[in-house]
Amino acid sequence: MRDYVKILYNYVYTRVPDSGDIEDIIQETMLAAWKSIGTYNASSSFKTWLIGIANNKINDYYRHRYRNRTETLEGQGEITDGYDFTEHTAVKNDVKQALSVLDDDEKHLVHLIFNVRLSYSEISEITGIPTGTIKSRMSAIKEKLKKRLGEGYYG
Amino acid sequence: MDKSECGIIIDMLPNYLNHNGNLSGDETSRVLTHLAVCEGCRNEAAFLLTLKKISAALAADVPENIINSVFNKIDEAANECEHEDVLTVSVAFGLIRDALYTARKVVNFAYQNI
Repeated sequence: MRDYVKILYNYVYTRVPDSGDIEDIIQETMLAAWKSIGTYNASSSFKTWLIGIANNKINDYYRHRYRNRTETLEGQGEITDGYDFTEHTAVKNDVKQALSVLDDDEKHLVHLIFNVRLSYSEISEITGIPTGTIKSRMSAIKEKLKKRLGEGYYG
Repeated sequence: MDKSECGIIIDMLPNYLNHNGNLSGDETSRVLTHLAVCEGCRNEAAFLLTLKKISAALAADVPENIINSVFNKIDEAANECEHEDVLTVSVAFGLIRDALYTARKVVNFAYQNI
């Protein structure tokens, strides 16, 4: 349970600015998941299903806040909703340096893979971006970082 | 060395490094077997580990209380159920809570048995 809440939190926090709202959305998502577990039929992975519920709660949140806006945030082929990772908590300088070569989309992809712990196919399902494209972006990210980190990047 | 196998293994490495159950037992064995004989892929795995550490800088600080508050909300909802439903709900909840700790296969199993 703890792992799933952490994973969910890492997904939601880049989409919702206020920490109180994030907590509400997490609670509502887990509660809705508990109530509707009977409908989970493994046609998608459990994480994808859970994030699908979270997306609905996030969309409700934005619809409530911005009543006149009609666009939704999911499945538009974008990874990032404009979350600015440069505003993030203080990090060690060498890590900051390494991250600086990545653009926002690339940072988000890395975040989804290692912090939200989604597979390429799960990311594809959630964002609407084809798996092949995701793999190419990941290759590009690795090349950029290998160049930036230079020799001995294995350590 | 079969280069196409390297391509497949490299795509599986992030999942392998996440220890998150996205890989089946067979897939994990496949990765381990290949890494044992392929230095190139071992280097790639080491690099991805560096990338994983770097990406930790992008992770959220999850508030301590959030897990308790999630469980409290679920407990409240369970308590609000009619008395005769409570046993069914609490059994279901117990199964679900255990299932959430484990991999997808166990979630399917719990679903089939509710």
